[in-house]
Amino acid sequence: MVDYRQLKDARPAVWTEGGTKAASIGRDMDQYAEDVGKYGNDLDRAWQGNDAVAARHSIVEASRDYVQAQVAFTAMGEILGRLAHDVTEAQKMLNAAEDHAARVPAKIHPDGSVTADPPPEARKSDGWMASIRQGVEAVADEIKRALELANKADKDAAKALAAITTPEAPNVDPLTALQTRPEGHDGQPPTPDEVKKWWDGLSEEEQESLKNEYPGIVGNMDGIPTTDRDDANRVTLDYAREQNDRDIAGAKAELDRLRHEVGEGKLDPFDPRLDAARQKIEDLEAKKHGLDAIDARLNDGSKPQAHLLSLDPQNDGKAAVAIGNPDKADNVATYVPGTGGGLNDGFKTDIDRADQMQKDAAGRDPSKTTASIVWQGYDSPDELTDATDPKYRHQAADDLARFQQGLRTTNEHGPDHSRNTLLGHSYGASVVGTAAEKHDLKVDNLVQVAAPGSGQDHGTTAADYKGHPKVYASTGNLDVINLARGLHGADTVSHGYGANVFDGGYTGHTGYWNDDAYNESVSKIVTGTGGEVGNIPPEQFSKYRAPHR
Amino acid sequence: MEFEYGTVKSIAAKVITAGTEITDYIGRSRGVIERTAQGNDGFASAKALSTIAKKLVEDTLKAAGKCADTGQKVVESAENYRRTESTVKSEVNLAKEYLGAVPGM
Repeated sequence: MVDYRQLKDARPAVWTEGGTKAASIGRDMDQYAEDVGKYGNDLDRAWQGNDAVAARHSIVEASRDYVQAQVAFTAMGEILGRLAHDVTEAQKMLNAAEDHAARVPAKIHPDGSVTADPPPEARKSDGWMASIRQGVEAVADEIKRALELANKADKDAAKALAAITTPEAPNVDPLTALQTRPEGHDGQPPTPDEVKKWWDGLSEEEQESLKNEYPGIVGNMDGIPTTDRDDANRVTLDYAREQNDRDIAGAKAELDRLRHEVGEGKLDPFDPRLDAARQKIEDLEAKKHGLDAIDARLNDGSKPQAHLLSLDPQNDGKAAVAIGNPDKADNVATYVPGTGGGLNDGFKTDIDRADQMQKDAAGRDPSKTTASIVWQGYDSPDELTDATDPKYRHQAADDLARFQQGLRTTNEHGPDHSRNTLLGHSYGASVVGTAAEKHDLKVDNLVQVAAPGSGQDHGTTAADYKGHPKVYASTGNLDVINLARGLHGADTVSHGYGANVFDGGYTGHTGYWNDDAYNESVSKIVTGTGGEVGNIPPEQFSKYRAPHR
Repeated sequence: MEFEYGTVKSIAAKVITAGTEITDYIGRSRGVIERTAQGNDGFASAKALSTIAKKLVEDTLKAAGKCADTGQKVVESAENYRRTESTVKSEVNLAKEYLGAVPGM
């Protein structure tokens, strides 16, 4: 038990210093664990066979040892930080009690007991003496509470420190943990709630090892918290960038080989393989730009911290980047891009749009935290000519619904805390409608911008969506989409559809985020003052009516 | 069978570095960590710290040493593999030469 004298003499600063150092080591060990794990995977490409398997196994074990050290140092840092904080508070309470004692006046003895120390004249006054006795009791109580706080902090810290596992303990096998994950139902992945429950049940070592060794799975599971997904997807991003660079080098080498054959007269200069090789390089270069844009935004310290919520580098590529942390946010806005989306040259623009949305909303209501997300989690049509095909929006619907539901599951303030807005642009506007017709997306607001139709296959009005979000729609006056409104379901800016229509300005199809009035309207919707937005009366609908109707 | 000797050696060197760097780093930081257990009489956590701080530092140093050893073993294993592969190739070449010298082969 910590007594009065020991609490007075305590030096919590050594715990603060040690805790800060331990936390710093924990962060560095995290990076080393990730790096060493990656070396194990790199070995796979350079060496195969039994000897290579054994070598890889040893490297992975080294990585897991580092994970244990990371978890241990991080825990030590947190424990020491809490202990230092609480003991400092307890010392402040003691100081306050001592000041109080001087005013009573009372005397605090070295063992912490308190007695009255009345001046001679006080002894002649019953009232004065009674007041001093009350003061003595109050001071004794204040000391007692300070000691209780210090002893509780000490006991909790001692218990938590004893529970720390050092790298000498046997390593966890993340595959075993992975095999316990929920399976899902009817061919669908598990719900975010099921995933969250499973994830929360794992030890920290298991979680860390899973992020390092199975980043492609963990990073894309809706229901896993944002920071954990971000950790895992950054590992995947490193792999993806390296692999893409190798693929570019390989594709260039192949083109050189074909050109050489042409030079030697062995290959027709119009052989289709030449065009295919050139196209492959172009596609890979575009993907490189998309991956580089993500990496640059994740490491841009001049803007709100970004998190990589999902990443799949296969084919055209899929990704979701959050500006801010949606798990901590009061307002969460998700933007779904349209045709031509994917990990390519255009993805930087999509990230910039999410940045714009976050900045506008945070500026409009600084008392709340806002996170915005660009969700390119679906295979979108490559060209406008493909955008007549409904298959893309149908394939996207389930994944978008699960992603939106996952945002509710992982919000640290509870599933009903945040105001969630889902905004789709162009084909993405039809995607959000298709998803909302099929599922309750748990969103407060659904915004359809430059929509080639509501995306509904059965309903025809904004009131037909599951979960009944407030529905907003906008289309710029110079937008070519005016020629295609109603292609996928209802015309979103028609009177009959019933959305709250707001002005898209004199913008073309890609110009919305450059229009101040449009940005202001979106920020109002995102921060909960959507009632001030739009409400364009029916008599003015003519300017939003499709020219062919 | 895939075997890129240069790449394997480079990976092994990185593993060794990850071990030696941690050894240096923890060695430099251990003073601050172990000091957390000093002073603060009467605190049960100080006693717990004196046990865990020392053990954590020691075990992390052991893990770092093991990591560096692993890298070294990968180098040795890769060199053995290359030697064996080279010997097998030489024997195959010798066999080919021999067979080539046999009339009718």
